[in-house]
Amino acid sequence: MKLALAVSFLSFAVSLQAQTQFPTPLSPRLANYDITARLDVEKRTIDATEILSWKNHSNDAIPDLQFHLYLNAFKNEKSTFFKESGGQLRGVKLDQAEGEMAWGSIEIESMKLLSLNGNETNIDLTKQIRFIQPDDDNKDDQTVAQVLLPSPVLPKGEAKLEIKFKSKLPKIFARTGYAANGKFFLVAQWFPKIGVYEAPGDRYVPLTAPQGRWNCHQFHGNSEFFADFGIYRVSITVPKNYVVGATGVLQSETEQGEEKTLVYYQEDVHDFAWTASPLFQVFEDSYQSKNGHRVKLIFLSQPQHADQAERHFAAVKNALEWAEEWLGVYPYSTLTIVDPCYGGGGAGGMEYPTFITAGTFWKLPLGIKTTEIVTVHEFGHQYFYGMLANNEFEEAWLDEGMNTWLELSVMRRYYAGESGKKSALGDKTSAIDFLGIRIGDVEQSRSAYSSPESAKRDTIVKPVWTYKRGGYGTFSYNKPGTMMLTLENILGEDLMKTVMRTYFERFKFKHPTTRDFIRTVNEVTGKDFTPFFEQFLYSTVALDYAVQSISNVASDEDDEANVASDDETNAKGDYRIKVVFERKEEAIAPMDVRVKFSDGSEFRDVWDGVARYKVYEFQKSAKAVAAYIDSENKHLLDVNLNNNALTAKPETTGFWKWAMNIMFWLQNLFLFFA
Amino acid sequence: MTKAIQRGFKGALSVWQASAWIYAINLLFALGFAMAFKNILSEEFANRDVSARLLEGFDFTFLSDLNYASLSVSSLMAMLGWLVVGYALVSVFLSGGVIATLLRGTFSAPDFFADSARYVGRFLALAVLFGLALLAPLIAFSIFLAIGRAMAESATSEAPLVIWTIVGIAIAFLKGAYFYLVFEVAKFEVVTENASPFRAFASALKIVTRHLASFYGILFAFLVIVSLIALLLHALAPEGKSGAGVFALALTQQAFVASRAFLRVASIGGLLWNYQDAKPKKELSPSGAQVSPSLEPTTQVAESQSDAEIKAESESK
Ligand SMILES: [Zn+2]
Repeated sequence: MKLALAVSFLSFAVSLQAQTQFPTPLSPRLANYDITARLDVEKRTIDATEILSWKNHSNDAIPDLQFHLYLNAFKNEKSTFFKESGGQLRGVKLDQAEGEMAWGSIEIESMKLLSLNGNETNIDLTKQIRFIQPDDDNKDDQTVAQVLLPSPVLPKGEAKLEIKFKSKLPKIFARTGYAANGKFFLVAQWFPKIGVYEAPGDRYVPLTAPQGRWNCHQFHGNSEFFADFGIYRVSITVPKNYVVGATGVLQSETEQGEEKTLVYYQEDVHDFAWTASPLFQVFEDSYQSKNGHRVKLIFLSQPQHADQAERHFAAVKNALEWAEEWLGVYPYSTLTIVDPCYGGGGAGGMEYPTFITAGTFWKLPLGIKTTEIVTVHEFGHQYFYGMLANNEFEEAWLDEGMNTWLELSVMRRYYAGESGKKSALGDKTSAIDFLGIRIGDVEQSRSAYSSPESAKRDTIVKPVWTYKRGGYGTFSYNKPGTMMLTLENILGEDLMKTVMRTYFERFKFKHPTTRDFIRTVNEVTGKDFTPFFEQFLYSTVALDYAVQSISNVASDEDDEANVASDDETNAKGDYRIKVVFERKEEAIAPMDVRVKFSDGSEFRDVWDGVARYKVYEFQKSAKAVAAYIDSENKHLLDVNLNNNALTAKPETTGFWKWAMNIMFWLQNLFLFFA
Repeated sequence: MTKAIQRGFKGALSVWQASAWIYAINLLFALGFAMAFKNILSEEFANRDVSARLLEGFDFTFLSDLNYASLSVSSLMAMLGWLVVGYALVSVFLSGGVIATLLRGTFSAPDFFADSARYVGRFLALAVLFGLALLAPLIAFSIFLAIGRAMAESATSEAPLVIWTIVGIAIAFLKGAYFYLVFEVAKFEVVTENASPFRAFASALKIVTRHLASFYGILFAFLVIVSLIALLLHALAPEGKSGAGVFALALTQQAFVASRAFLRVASIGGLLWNYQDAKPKKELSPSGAQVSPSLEPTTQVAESQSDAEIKAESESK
């Protein structure tokens, strides 16, 4: 009763001031939600009513609707999510110590069709709801529901539904739930969410197909999400002492007894998440966007991390500056950063429109930049996923891989000093610079895929649930991130910027595909990069080029190589010089090659890289002293950079240094004994 | 306590050759590994233009791409394992010579090694006892940590658990230091009283417990001195970005190791004289000096002797 009163009051208040964020819609606004929710912090449940207005943008008459019921992934151990993930995500397990309370679920209590194709109705659809499993035959999976309509949604028609549902939040797991005995809630994937209807010509549905299809995948072990853009208006009722943060702009806040109701509103987003906790300490800052508008930054901090507010704000501002330069304007007027409480780490490092979760540690040293990395990364998803809303189930690299590239770029530009600006591998400090251990974010990300065990394990473009175990991180983050940097090195900064800005301009507030990206690259550069992407996105081949050998043979000598001979010039006559470069793996790319001679001269060429070996022969009075392939490390995808150079003379000073260091550590270890 | 420390330094100075031997043997062991390490790297990478990168400092990409090298890290690791075990044994061996030499006040290499050989059997037994005793603080620490984790279940901040863990580590460290002191004093008991390992360990437990403050004080005084030297040399150490720089860096490192070897002997001296003060009525000398080395009594006799002495000692208190 109290709730109903509050809601009617609030919907009036909102209707006065909302609806005007973007006078010209940024997106097609196909899926629009008006949700009234009340959080029961004791029971960890949400009772809510959702008014969904869904538009059929296709020319099909669509007989059914399909919904994601993500929370049912945590209903029991029989869900596809549980079976695939083994009940863990990113190493965090569902904590079953709290028994029944730990599990999560969503139940649709009623579903009513309020209007169809412009005609008001009042048809109860509750009995029409059934669970379907479009991806596997796991009949126990209840993460997708289908509802048959009494008559189809006509082409360009609209359906309006009222859905009453109850969500039980799990103990923080896989991004969502409660922690700290109900003193922390991160509420995500929490409402019945309509799938994406793909018409002929959309993404991978052929233009010639007789009709479109629903794209509404089950919730999988690693998968994230896919949804249409729309307007969200969400009213949230929580205990009065809880601090709330959410997607969008806070429109109103009213108190009723021991509770309060906050209304959030956001246009042109495709999801809505929120948090509630009495623990938060609130910090605010702002960023001046390139197009003049001010972005309000809110950091909901744990009290023990209050001294790190500035670190979070700086990371977001750096990322914003970079993204507006390399991609385009951030159009929204807020960004909320949530710092999950201790024990709520499972909610950390996640992205929702205008709302991200980070994660840090008490007194984290400045030299350990994990907080910056996670904040930059999650912010980057405002672009790759938030505005460029690719299908995360099917082509996770488009969000995670491209966003890893954004993260690496921001980290090396802002957190690596001067060396990072020169080259990607010059950055030795942007991830860790602590107690003599120096690791650049680019290096660590590259190494996560480049090892012999990983490099050829899987392909990048495939549905995430079909990756080999452990492949998700490698092939949707690390390899594509490294590939994007390689592409940037090949194109150069200016051309890469044009490519990315064009891609963003063309596909923002749409659902781009890998093919869309490749077409954009080819079009902007005027070159055919399809073979590049075919190799690295669609096949498992690895890239490794090496300098195989250098030989300097004095012309008067018999064919005896004297590679390491010390005399620099041959008094008697010329040298016959042979330098051999090698392609050690299957991937092919044109490579810069360089040969340095003892007289200071240099030979440079570009080898097409096709053959297994490339032999260069010279007749010179000076010897070849060194040879390099891809000496600027443009091809960061090259899995072994230690074989990209060969010198005629050995040089071991660096080894001596490390031998002395190791000896020193060992001696000190020994002295613990005596 | 300060007096004991002063005497420790004086003693270590007058038998500086003992420190020199410790340093030399330490260097020999570590050098073997360092050279193997250097040779393996040189073999594979001397002509790969990576030396300059390594001179700059830690190079993660070089390290990650070692995955593709043919060099055998496993043989290096095996070598490391053997070296650590070997050195641990050698250090137990040498400590007999160090204690006896400190007591004697003059260094002679034959005596040093003869004494080392004389006590090594019992010292090894003591080392095993010491190792077993260390299990206690380790188990206590894991219980302490489990309690902390359980309490943190309902916590909303990681800070208390971090502090709890640090406290736990500190307590474990103090307990470990206690058993280390017992280990050292037990060795003194063996050398001066010709005690059996068990007797020595038991009476060392009593002695250290009774004079806890002074023993801890000496140990921590030496820890502070080592830390100060470490800080000083760290500030002085060159970066080592050229051949000469690496040489200078290595010299600085060796200066630190050598001073640690000396301080090691000095700290044993300090503990030894503190032990002497703890047993006021006795003038200490190695049991080997009481009984001529060539006529060393059988262990049976030695044990019965020390039994009587321990009884006498504990009764006198
Ligand atoms: Zn991500």
